[in-house]
Formats: sequence, C-alpha cells, structure tokens
Amino acid sequence: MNKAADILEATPMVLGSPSLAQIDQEVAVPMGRIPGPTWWAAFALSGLSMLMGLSLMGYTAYRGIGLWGNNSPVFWAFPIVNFVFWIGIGHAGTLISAILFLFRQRWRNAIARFAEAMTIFAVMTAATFPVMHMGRPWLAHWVFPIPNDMRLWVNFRSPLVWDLFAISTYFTVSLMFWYIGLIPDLAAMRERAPTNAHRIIYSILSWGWTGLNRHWRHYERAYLILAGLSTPLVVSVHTIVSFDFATSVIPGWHATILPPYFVAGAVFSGFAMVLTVLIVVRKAFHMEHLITLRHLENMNKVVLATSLIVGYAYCVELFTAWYSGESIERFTFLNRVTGPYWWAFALMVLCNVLVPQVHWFRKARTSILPMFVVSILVNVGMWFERFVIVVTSLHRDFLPSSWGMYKPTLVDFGILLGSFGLFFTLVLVFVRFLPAISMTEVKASMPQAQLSVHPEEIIGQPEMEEVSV
Amino acid sequence: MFSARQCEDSLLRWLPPTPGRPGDYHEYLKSRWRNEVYTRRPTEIDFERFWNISLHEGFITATTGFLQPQDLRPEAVLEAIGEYARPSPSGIDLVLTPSPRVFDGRFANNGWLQELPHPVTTQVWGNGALMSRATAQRLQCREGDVVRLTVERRSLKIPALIEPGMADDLISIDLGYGRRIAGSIGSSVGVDAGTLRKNVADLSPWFYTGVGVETTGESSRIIRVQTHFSIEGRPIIKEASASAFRSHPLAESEAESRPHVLWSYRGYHWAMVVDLTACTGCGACSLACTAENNIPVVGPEQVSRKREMHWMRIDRYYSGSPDNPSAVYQPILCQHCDAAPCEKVCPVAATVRSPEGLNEMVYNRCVGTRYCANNCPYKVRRFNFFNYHKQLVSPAELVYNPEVTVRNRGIMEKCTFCVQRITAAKHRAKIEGRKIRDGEIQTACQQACPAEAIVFGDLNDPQSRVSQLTKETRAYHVLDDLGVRPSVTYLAKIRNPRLDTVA
Amino acid sequence: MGSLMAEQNPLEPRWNRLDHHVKVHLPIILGVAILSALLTGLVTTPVRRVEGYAPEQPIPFSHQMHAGSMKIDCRYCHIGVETGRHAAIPASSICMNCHSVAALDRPGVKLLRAAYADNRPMVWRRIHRLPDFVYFSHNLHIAAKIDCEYCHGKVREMEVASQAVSLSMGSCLSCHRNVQQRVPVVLPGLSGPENCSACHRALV
Repeated sequence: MNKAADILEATPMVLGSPSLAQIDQEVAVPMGRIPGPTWWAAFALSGLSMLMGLSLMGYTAYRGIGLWGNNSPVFWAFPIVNFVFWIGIGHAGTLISAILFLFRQRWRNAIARFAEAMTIFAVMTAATFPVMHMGRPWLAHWVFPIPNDMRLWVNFRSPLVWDLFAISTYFTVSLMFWYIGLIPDLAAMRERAPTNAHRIIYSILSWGWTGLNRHWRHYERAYLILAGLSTPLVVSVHTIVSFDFATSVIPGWHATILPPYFVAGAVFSGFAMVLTVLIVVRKAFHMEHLITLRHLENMNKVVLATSLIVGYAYCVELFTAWYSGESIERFTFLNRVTGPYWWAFALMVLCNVLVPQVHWFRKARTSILPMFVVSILVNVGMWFERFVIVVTSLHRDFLPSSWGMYKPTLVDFGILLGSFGLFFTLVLVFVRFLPAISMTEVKASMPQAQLSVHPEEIIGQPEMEEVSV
Repeated sequence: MFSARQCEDSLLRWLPPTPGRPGDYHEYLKSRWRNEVYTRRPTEIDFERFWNISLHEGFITATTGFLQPQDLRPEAVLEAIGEYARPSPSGIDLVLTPSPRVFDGRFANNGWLQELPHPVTTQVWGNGALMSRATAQRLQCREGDVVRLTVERRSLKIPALIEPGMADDLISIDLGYGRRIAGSIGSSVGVDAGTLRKNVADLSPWFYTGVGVETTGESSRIIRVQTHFSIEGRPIIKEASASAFRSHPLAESEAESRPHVLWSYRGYHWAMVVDLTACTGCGACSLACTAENNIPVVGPEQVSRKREMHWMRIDRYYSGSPDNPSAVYQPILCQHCDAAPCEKVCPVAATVRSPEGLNEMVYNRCVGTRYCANNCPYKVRRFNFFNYHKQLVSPAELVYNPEVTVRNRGIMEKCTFCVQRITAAKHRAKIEGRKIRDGEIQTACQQACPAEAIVFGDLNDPQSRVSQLTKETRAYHVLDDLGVRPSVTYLAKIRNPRLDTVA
Repeated sequence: MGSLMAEQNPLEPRWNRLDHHVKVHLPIILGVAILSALLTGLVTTPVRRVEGYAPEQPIPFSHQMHAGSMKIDCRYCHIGVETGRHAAIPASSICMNCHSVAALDRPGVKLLRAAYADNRPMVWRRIHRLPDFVYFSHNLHIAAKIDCEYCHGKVREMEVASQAVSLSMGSCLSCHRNVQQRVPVVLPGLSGPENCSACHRALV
C-alpha cells in the first residue's frame, strides 16, 4: 500500500536518488563540454581505421574482388562473415529497447538509448558489406525491385533479396524508433543549448516538441507501436540472414537449426558488444549511478543464457549430422572439428561456450574486469563462429576435386578493422552530440514521475507541482 | 602443267655436277634402277618392260641381294642392356619425357597449354621431379622441396612432385620447361630438364641410371589444380570391371529419385552424355572450351589461389592402394540441372532456365554476389576476380570468338553448352524451315574429343544418340541424390582387367 | 483527463497548426515529390537520352525523299537484313547505282561522287547501336514479317534520320510480351522469346 516504497523498490536502477533536474544535468553535461583528449584519441583511432576500411573498399571496387582471399570454392569469406557479425550485433539493441520495453522491464531504461543507437550503427556498418562484396557494386541498384528500363523484376526466391527487405525494414524501423525516443531529449538539449547554432540544430531535430500532453500521448503511442514493430524484427531479421545459408544445398549450411541458432547467436554477440562499449562509456562519462552494476549483471545473465543456447546448438548440429547417417553431412562436421580449420572451431567453442560460464558466479557477473574480458572474448568467438560456418562449409563441399584452402589477404583484414572503425566512429560521434542515456525514460521511471503518488510521500523531493488536467 | 619443278630436280641442279650423273631426275631415277635394281630381277625381262611393270605394280619381287633374315641371340641383347644398367649409389633412375602440354618446349609461350593441367599431376605452369611417396619419404623431401639431381657431371635443381602410382626409385621430369627466351608467357616457367641430357649416343638420351639426388633445403611452389584425389565414397564415379558389369549391370536402382518435374520442354531439350570409359583424360575438351568461349588465362599466381577459369575441367580420382592406384578421369562441366540450385539464389535473376533445358548465364545482368557459385554442388562456376582481359594489346583481341561475350570483372561465367553454336544451328534451321538434325550441333568439347567420349543432342528426339545413350545401363548422374536433375549423364567406366597390362 | 481534440482546445494556440503544416507536412510532401521525380528521371534516362538522336551526317541524306517520295525499298540499300543479323549501312557503290547519272548537280551528290572516285568510304554516323552483349538478328524479325517501321519509326518521313524508339531492353520486351497486339501482321501464334539467352545469346 505504501506506493512510494513500492516504487522506490522498483527503481533501484538509479543510485543516490538524484532529482529529475539532476538527471538531465548528468546526462547532458558531458555533451556540453569540449571533448577531452581521450575522446579525441579514440576518435582519431577509429576515424583513421574507418577511412582505411572505406578506402580499401573503394580500391576493391576499382580493382576487383581478387584483392581478397576469396577463391573457388570459398566464394564467400570475410565480407560475409563480417556482414553476419555486424547484423547480429544489432539485435541486442532492439531486444533491449523494444522487447524489454514491452515486458515492462524498467531496468532497460538507462541503457535502451545506447543499445538502440548501437543497433543502428551496427546495421549501417553491416549494410556496407552486401554492396561492396558484389563483383559489380555500381550495379547494386539492380537488386532493388524498382522500376527499370529493362522491365525486369528481381528474383524474389533469392534469400539475398529477402535480406534486402529485412535489413532495410530493420534499419528503417530501428531508426524511427530510436529517433522518436530521442525527441523529448533533444528538446531538453534545445533548452540547454549553449550556442545559437546548437539551439537551431536541436530545435529542428526536436520537431517543435513543447511537452504538451498531446505530444506526450503521441510519443507514448508511437513508441509503443514501434516497439511492437521492432520486436518481431529481432527474430525475423536474423532468421532471414540465416536463410542465406539455410536455403542453400551446401552441407553445413543446409540445416533447419540455423534460424534459431543465428538469432540466439545474434542476441549473444549483441549483448557482448553492448557490454563492451557500455562499460567503457559509463566509466568515461561517470555515469556509474545511472548505469549500475545491476544493469550490467542483468546483461551478463542474458549473455550466459544465450551462450548456453548457442552451445546447445553446436551440440545439436553435430548430433544431427551424425544421426542423419549421411556421409557428406557427417564429413562436413568432422572436418570442422578435426580438419585444417580445427583451430577456428576450437576458438569458437572456447570463447562462446566455455568462457561465459564464469557468469554462473555472482562475483564474475558483478565485477567490471571479468565481464569486460568475457564480452570481448565472446565477440571474438562469435566472429569465429561465422567464419567456421561460412568458410569451413565451403572449402570442402560435395566434389573433392574442388576442395581448396582459403587464405585471407591484408585487404580482408583491413576491411574488417575498418568496419570496427566505422562502428566506433559512429558511436563516438553519438555520445558526443546526443544523450547516451535516455533522460526521458530514466526520469519516467523515477518515483517523482509517477503521478499517482503524492509528492510529499517521497523523501526529500519537494518540488513537483500537481498538474491539473 | 604449271612449269613447276620437282624438288629432287632442284637438288640435282644445286649439287656440284658429277660426271655421268644425269641432270634430269627422271633419268637419274631410271639410271639408278637400271644399275642397282634391274640387276636383281628374278626373271629375264628387258629393262623398259621391267621399268613400266615396276611403275605399274608399285613393287618388285626379288629373292636375292636384299636383307637376309638374321638369327637373334637373346642373350646378346640382355648383355647389351645389362651394360647400361649400372647399379647407382642412390638407386634412383631418371627418365625425361616430353611434356603432354608443351611437348619439347615449342608451346611454352602458349598460355592455354601452360594453364591446362597436366593429366596426371594436374600441375600447371611448371614441372617437377615426379616421384612416388615412398621415394620421397626415403629422400626425406616433401612436395615443393627443391632437390638437386646429378647425372654424371651435370646437375639440376628442381622441386619435388609426389604422385601416387609412380614407380619407386624412379624420377620422371617433363621436358619443355625452363625456357629462357620464350616470349612474354613462356620464359622462366618451370625447370629445364634438358640440361641433364647427354648428346653422346647411348642407350637412350632420355633415360639415366645412377642419378644422385639430394635435398637442398630450398622450396619452390608447385601449383596443382586439384589437390584431393579420392572420391571419399561419394556418388561421383561409378566404375566396374567388365565381368562384374556383365553379371550385375548398373540398372534400375540407378533410376534415380526424380523430384516433381517443374519444367516441360516442348521444343528441343539439350543434353549431353560423357562416356567415362572412353575418356582418356587428355584435356582437349577443356582446351577447346577455353578457345571457343574466350576464357582468360589467369596466370600462375591466380591459379595457385584456386582461381583458374576453366569452364570444363578433368577431375582425376584415384582408387585402390596409394602406391598403385587406378585412376579414372571425369570431365566436369556445368550440369545444366533442371532444378538448379544456382538459379534459385541469384538475386538479380542473372542465371535462369531456358525453355530448351539450358541453364543460361546472363553476363550483363550479373552483379557478382557469387551466391550461385556457393550453391553449385559441382563447383563449375567461375568468377572473374579481376579484369583478366586488360592486358591485351591490339590486335590481340582478334583472337576472341566474336560470337561469345567477353566478360568483365565481377561477373560469373560457366559452361553454356556452346549456346552460340546452338543459336547458329537453330538460325540455319529456322531459315531453312526444318528442325535441327542430330549431330548438327557439336559443342566445342565434343568436337575436340579424340575419343568421341562426349555426345550432345536433343533429348526430346528419341532417335538422337543422346537419347539412346541415356537409356544405357551404364548411365548415371553425378551426385544424383541431391535431386538437382542434371542434364549431363555419365556412362560408368568399365575396365577389363584381363587385358590391362598394368594391374 | 480525457483525450481532447486539439482544434477544440481553447488553450491551444492556433499558430501551432500552421507550424505543424510548415515544419512537418510541407517537407514530407516536397521530399516525396522530389524523390519521385529524381527516381523517374533516373530510370528513364537511357530512354530519354536516345530517342530523337539525330546526328549530323557527312551528307544531308534525306530518307523522306529517297524512301518516301521515291519509294525505294529499305532493303535496296540496307542489304544483308534478310539473310543475316545486321542491316548494313550501304557502301557508296549502292548510292552510285543511281547517282552515277542522277542528281549530279546536288552538292551532296557531288561530295559522294568525289569520295567514291577517290576510293574513300563515306563516314556515316551510326544511329542505332546496341551494346555488345545484345545479339539482335534482323533476319529473324524480317522473316516474321515485322516491318522496319515498327522499330525504326516512320523513316520515310524523316528528313534527317533519327532514332525513334529507345531500343532499350524494356522496349524490346514490351513487344515480345505482346506481339499479336503490337504487330498484327505477325503470324498468329507466334510470340517473341522472353528468356534471356534469346538475345543475350541463343534463340527460341
């Protein structure tokens, strides 16, 4: 019956009971400051890496795919591995911001904005790969079913066309979802804008938000609808990406376990990446009381859970291959474990299945360094999982006469590094100019924002006036 | 008739004159017959008649004065051979053979031949010291390790090439490589084994005993197109001995699982049959395809990265014991599957089914996602990783067949069943108002095959050779249980071991 | 605390609606309009660029006079069209069939005769050009009784030869997919091939 106590209990996510204005302050102030040397150093590093990646992509478009290690039979290698890797990372953001929202998990409020931003940047990074891995990327528009001079449709039976729809939908919906959520915060930034330029930009971006009841109603409704739209996308997008492999005939690819396996893997690697970046950001911006250990611990629990799912999927793959009795299928998986790329398989199992098991222990879940190391290793492991899936299945398929080895080139590595550069550059620019924590949502989960509670019942917070409607 | 001169007349005119020798070849010939052949005539006859009869018959019969049968002493022969079979310190013998690709080196500047895999080793762009695995183990060298061969005072450094089925203690090297001035393509490709030759008349200039072999610690790249030679128990090759085949013909069990038919071919239905028994693995089909379809030569660097561009390749599989395997050759080309996995996955519909059973590759539509190549179980698709036609200096581009598009980089290509020849034949037939006759269309590979192992034709015509061959009991499809329904049927290899001289 | 319609709320300043229209509706409408225009322009560029192409020729040859008034058949000059893939631009010898004696006073004819006497070819500017990967056969279309005009337009009325139809893949397909309607003289039951290798190598 003591509503205040209930609410306080429900919002242990914010430590130290700051006032609403203080929350605004704490989130917005880092953006008002001139960025320190750390930010510049990080930006320089990631920016250079991004430029290197982009110029290598351009060079590839100029000279040809031969600059990479792709050959016959391994026609798909690093760029596709990178593509699936980055799309997977995007799923965590949507899960946190959309699915956890629908499940009313208040603890996601502090991290949702950041996670959703990461989704968008991950999808943007991923989207560079399908275009530039084409042999003739200047004709990429032929994959779109737009009116054309040749009166041709695209081949709708091709999973790559489904990818196109899935990823563009995902990107569009995520962007809108993220942006709608940003609007009240941008309005807050507008009010605090230090210069005229800031004010004009923020006011354009905030679309005339004035905090009217009508605005809030539209906001809440749009947010809910978009959360509802994003939720199935978490499952469908990576399912469709998995169809790139699952609908082919290649043993090792042609398996029905692939869609749930990929989705779980996506959530797994996404959470790991969110953890990696969030741990750094909260430290850098001193937001430890807004993004608390409880948040991180919850994310670690998700990492552990999905690690178990992924581990189970590995076992099922191996078992199904054996159980099928099909010699080529059996060989493919035996080749993964004992063939020339056994080291990639071992690394994958180590990083994805064994290492995250430390999170059974509360100590590991709530200590910064172990969870940081685990998150990095999980990312490495998940990259290798895609490598194992793509390269080992291709390099030895049906006809032994066409078996061959794959060796990546420096250009391959450069583009991989460049993709990280692109991602982190976008993240750095984001934290510099936009509120990394959703002030609106955090404030909305504070006791002061709950209208059914009389303000005097909350200890120490006298300022809110009742709004009459 | 044309006041031309016989070449022998020219010779007689150019030789310094000898007294008594006629200057006219006719007289010269007649006088020689009079002096040497007429004297051995069996019956009494005057010379003019003898001359005319000889010209008419074309031969003469004589019993005296010519070769007498000799008695052969087999022991003497063995003695003579034994003189040359000196026991060698390392026990290694060397044989130099003309290369099946560049012969004695005259074709070294021919990119097509340099890139066509050696029929046994599938090596390209070079040669090596071919030896068996046991010999290599004994010499403690692996493939690619450079060994120094010494024959008397001559020595040669050459990388080792290890191949099952090679006789132990024997090294074989292909001649024709290592040329220094052979043009832009052929120079410095491989090692010149001719430096080991002696010019002194001997048992043979190509066979040496007592060859010294030592490893040098260096290594050199051996580029093979096929690195794995076992079929791993997969349904790729069907072979049998003749007796087994006669008692258990490969029959209705091979009437394979046919999935629901998606297409009906009302006009022509092009198909091909390849007879594995006839195929000798020579590679002429592969080369003919390369020539016909403007397939680029990519060079040793690209082939070593497994980016060779041959649309048709000869796979060579071994079976039996690794030291004495039996080999079977299988030409693999696009199978033009009815339920082609490649057609399904191309996002821009650059590879589609033709109403006549061909899997069409539309180059100008391809954007190069390479999904089709991944999905091809036969891996017959080739991708232009670079612009392989950039180096041409005019007028070299006139080498190209104008009927076939030259592909830019970023485009997938593959066997088209010589669609340009099909077109030309259909064209002629349409203008003349008739159907295409069986045998009128010959694909390039079919045309070049010396064993006539490849047959191409219309499956919808029950009288065509293809239709009849596909009904043979030997007929099967590669990887049939995938259900892709290839249009290329293979006829199983039947060996007759009783007649084989090598077991 | 019910939901109130904004228009009826006296507290709601009126300029907010205008603000909304200007800041939200207008940009959206403009954006969509511009984007559509750009896309349409992009898609139709190959067609727009080529239709009406009428380059200047070395001699101002008039099809209107030769093919129109004088009713010379297309195939008299553009030989090879019934037997082969290509419709040749005539060699000067064909022109000289008449112009060895006809219209000797015209400046164009004088240029022609001078070049012919000199053994120099007339360098005509080619108008209809398909890319190398398109293998089009004139003779098959002639055999199907398709008149030259269907693709080349009313050449008999052209003073200056120009390209009438874009000859893009879409324009070819629009006829192939609809033969009986587009070219009624074609034998009934005949239809143009639609599979790729018909033009990008092979025929049906």
